[in-house]
Amino acid sequence: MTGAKEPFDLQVGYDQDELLGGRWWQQGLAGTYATGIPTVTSRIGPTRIDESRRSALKMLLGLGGFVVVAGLVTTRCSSSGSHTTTIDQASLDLQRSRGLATGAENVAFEWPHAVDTAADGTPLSALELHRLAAELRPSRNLEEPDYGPTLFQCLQETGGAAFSRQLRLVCSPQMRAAYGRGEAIRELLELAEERRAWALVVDLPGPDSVAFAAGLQPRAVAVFQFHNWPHPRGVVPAHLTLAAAAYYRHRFGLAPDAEQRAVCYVLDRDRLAPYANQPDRFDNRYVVRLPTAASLQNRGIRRVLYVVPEGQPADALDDVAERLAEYAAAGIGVRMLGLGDLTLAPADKVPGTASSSYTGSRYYWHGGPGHHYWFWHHHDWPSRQAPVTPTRPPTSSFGADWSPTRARPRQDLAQVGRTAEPRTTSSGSSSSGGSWGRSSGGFGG
Amino acid sequence: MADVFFGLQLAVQSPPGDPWRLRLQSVVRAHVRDLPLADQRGLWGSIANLLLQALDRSALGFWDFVPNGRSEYDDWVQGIEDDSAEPWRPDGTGARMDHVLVSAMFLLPEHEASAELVGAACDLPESDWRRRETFRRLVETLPQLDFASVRGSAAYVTPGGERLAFSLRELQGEGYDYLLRIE
Repeated sequence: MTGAKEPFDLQVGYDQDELLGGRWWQQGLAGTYATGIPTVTSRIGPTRIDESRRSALKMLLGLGGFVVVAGLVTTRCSSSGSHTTTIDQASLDLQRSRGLATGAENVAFEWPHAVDTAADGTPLSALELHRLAAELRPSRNLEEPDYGPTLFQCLQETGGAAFSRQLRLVCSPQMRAAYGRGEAIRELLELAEERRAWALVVDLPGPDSVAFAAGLQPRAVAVFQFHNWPHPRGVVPAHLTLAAAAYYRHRFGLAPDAEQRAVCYVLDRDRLAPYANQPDRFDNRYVVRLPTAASLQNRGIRRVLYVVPEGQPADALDDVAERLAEYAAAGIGVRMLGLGDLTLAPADKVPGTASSSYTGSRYYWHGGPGHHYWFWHHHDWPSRQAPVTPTRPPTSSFGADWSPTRARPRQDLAQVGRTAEPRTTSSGSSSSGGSWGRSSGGFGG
Repeated sequence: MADVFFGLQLAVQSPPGDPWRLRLQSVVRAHVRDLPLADQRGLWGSIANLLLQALDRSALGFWDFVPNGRSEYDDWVQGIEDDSAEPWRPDGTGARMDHVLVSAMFLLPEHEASAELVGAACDLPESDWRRRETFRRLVETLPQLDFASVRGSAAYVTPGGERLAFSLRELQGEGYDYLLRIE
């Protein structure tokens, strides 16, 4: 027995229609079970099983639905009786087991545009950070299943304490602009004929998405979908998204009209940032799953606005394109909003009654209050009467010709957010070599 | 040395395609392998977080704490696993099929940290056994276990297929009549 052997042996695992799961046994505490070192093949099944269990296993293997080997063995080499195998696994699993900053424990996170206090002027306490996942939970039970709080939960997990000591609040000029643009859409939502028939899918860089959603408050229930952890060398700068959420956290607790709010799915566009297996980067990317068309329709949602940054092609990202096309096929109106169409109006064109965090100037659709309310005519969506007479904007709107189409299936999406880890096997025993990210000087791809 | 059995089951309303269920399946699937202590804790921490999120959607549940409970542990895990040998048959009555059963089973050496922790959490008057707050407290206990003093653990999601589900009617009927209505 080697000391490096995993303490909990998988006795049996199931991945089939009838059952998913596993049963583990800690050999170090067991007095009656065999302690032989299993090879990869002998891991299929318990080290000692009774006959009825064995027959069940045979049936399982016949069904081909059995998952035991940890990840995909991609390479293997051998020298002097030891083997190095490369185990491909989910990056998040690796972080959970080795710590949030695994392989880069001495690398500091960078905090551009750091500020000392949150949007409401208060500093951030450690206690509040730990409550972030609960605090930012959707305020309606209806949206709870769609909530993806993985990012907010990292603070309570392995390596989270060290990270929380580094965490700074951030507020960049881009976030402030996104907040103001969110406010502009919030003002339009005030006039929506039926606000709860609306869903917004905000697909901007993480901090900007959070800021935009904050600007929408309290007219839209924010449903965050952040399914990764930060990493000092992460492809996705998720630490900044977390910092932005902490900065605006107080904005999301406002719900005076819980029955008449739209829903807003808050995504991080960098979740699918380009990555080419660079050894100095950690692949903390991920894909999101928006609710099905039937799920939206059950909630009475009939219109979806897909919000994208300026300067980008009028396309949906690959992991949401299929779903948006499904919405359209089901009769849900799906339109695109480019942030570039929400522009700042000079102070002399801003009505005195408007409320905004901006003094003197504010954002409107196509730059002025008259064009702003043309938004409803442009999309042919019903609204209540606008406070000013709408006028057609002189320029065309971004994404006006866009309609959702099913994306060509991308097989590489299945490889998003995975990391290869070298492991050393010696004399038939399999163990983690502990060399990941160190001996190789980087991260496997 | 005698071992303590601690088991918890929750029937969660989670229809096929529910993102919560996909996350649960993803977590369990990713851990079906030999696990170091930290990964055992990670597994149960993730399951606990998900169960806490779904507790308001859980109408039925069960928990048990049995000193000298090795045979209970064996009975439970064997029962659940043996059930899976039968091909899944969906409820044919037309009832809405939108529930999954999540099972957590542990075998804990008595007088050690985990058994003591669970024993304290389960020391409740009978009037509290069915309370939602009790289930919440027990779920919160899972990641607090000292896994160095856990002899055996088992995590199951039934059914395992993403497109399958129990109806609530089935979970209230024969074979599942031990499930308590959560109050």
